[in-house]
Amino acid sequence: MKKLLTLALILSSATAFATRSRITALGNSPHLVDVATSFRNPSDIMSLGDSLTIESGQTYTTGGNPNAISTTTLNGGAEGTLIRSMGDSKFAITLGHSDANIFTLRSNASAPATAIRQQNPLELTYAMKAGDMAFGATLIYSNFQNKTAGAEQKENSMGVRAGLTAGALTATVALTLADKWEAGTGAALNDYKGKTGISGTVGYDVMSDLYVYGAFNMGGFKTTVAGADTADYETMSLTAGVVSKIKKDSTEFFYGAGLTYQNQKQKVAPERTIKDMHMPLIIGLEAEANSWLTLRGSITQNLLLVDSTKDETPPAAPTTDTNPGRNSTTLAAGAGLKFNKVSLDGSILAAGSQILNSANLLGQVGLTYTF
Amino acid sequence: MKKILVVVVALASMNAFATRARVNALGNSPHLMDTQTVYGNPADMMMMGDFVTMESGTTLGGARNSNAEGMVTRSMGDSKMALSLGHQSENASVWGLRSVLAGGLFPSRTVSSQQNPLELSYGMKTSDMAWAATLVYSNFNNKLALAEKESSAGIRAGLRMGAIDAKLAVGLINSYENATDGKFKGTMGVSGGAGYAMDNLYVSGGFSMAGFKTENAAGNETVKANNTKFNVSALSSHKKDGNEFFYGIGLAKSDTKIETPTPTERKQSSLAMPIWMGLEVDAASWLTLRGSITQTTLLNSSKDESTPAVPGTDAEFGPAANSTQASVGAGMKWNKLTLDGSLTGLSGGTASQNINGTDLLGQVGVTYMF
Repeated sequence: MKKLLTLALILSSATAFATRSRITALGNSPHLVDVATSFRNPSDIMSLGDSLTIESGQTYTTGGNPNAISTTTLNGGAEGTLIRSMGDSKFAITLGHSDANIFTLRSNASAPATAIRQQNPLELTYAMKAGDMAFGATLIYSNFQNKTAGAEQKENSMGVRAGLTAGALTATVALTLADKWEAGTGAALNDYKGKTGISGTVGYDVMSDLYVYGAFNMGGFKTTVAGADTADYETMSLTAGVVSKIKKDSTEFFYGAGLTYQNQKQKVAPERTIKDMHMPLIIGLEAEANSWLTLRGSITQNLLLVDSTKDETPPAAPTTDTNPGRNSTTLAAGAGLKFNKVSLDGSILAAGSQILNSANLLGQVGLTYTF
Repeated sequence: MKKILVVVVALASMNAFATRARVNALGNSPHLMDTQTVYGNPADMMMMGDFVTMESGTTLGGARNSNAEGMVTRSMGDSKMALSLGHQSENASVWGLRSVLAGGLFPSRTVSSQQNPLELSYGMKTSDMAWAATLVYSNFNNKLALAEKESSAGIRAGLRMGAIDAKLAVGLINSYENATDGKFKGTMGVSGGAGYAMDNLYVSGGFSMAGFKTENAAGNETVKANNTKFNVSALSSHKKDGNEFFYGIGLAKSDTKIETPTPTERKQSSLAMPIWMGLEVDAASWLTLRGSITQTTLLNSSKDESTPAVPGTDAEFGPAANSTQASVGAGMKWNKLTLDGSLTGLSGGTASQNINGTDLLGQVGVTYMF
């Protein structure tokens, strides 16, 4: 309980209850706690105050037909999350959030079995405290059906996430229970069926300034086009790492290193295997520039000692075989503007831009109100 | 009377007397009271001080809320009068469904909105009750090019009595014609609604019935359409320290029947359950930030069918596609003057997610409280 309160106090000194642009600017570092991280660990809402977060973005609908999925727009849609307390427990409702596991898998399906993204996704979260422990669970649901003759299309998804924070320990698990898409009818039916997916994380504050973590993710899907199998895809990834964080005068500096391994297999001919192993390094900073402005940024790069990628479709020669790999140095930066109980966060210098002016100011802007 | 005063005081603590940008940023939530909601319930002007509001826009604005308009209210003892210039009334543009003319029905004139519309309102307070009525009128006649005529007339009435509010509007005249394309004539449209506030909870319901007929230049009927809408909603509103947070859920049903020579009949129906959340916050003494998020979920079906079937036009969804939309706006206050706008990069289904020199304030309006 004490640690939870301490964590809440530390976080409240910065623009902590912020938006996905904050998480992006801080390199998605695993030690962060934010409204956006509650989509990974539902128990995180117990460390946050009651709030309403509105993320700007597109609706991803053209007329009555949902757009095909884009691999670059996971965070491009409008969404909102409301967190409210009920005694020792908390309840959250999220409108429009695309689940990262489902989104990523569907983005790997190729035409003509190009699964669309989740439509009107709804997430309900419940979390509570019990002594020193906080736990939470989230139900994920989306459903869509175009019954129009000649344009038949369906999408539905369902999943659960659960997470706990017990003193210095955090753990999460996420299950994808249903992940389906189909278009057409009869012999012309194209479909996408996600396999039961499971992912999880575990983290531990070894010391007040040292956080170690690990994560795994397994999932896959099958697609058929007019009854013929076109894809049987599986992915498995493992991650482990450590982050050291230093807090002083409402400013946080952190740096860390990780080791990630991912193995992707396409089992339907032409069979394909992609293996990646990287050691990403991260350096990040979040500082209160003044009472109304928080600036944040991070820089990441894969360490060249462990940085391999191999993409092969036997018997042909690999199309990619790098070890070490190309430049991967990436900067992400953002700013948070605080006005009383409302904060407005956005990204700056995004996508390699070196310009900060009236035409390139805040991007991916979101608004958070804390009650 | 006491409840009316409480509402007025609560609203006065915020940037409440604002513009259509404010109402849009707050998701058009049914519990709002604003200079713009006077166009729905005229009695709302009795809940506010005297004001003049000016909305930016084009002179020949073809889309609703893209036109210039303004309103002034003045008190005379317990009564109040208002004059509005340029407001495109729902009596004409929605009830009369004139927007269908933009779809190529009248090729010579795709925009046939009200011309120089004028609205006069009068309201009174009596004991615990405030009521008001509005007369809507527009008229236009081009005796040369196209031999074009437009006219509309309607009345609205509303009341607020303690925790209850009610409104009724009747569209009496709604016609447009030109010598090349023919005539458009709206049927008498009726809409109404009522709401009841119980502490933090506000429940409301509404309906509208409207229709129109069109004839070609030879006098033959080409289209006959009727539309009926019902909606109910419940929302919870929480005010604290000059800030307001609200969330609500509703149920909306719409049925439209269109009769044409080919196809002979077209029916459109929808049933939706919108969910919305919004907030309005005094960010600083001079700045108000507001925003909302809406989504239609769970119940979300629609059907568009023609007889005989028209492939490519007929459609059926159940549930329908993504509808999540965010809207964010800002209001700046200087003494008795407020300037409101939507943060254009953060609003609507095509939001760029940006705040910058290109995507800053849009749909800007100014309000001065006397």
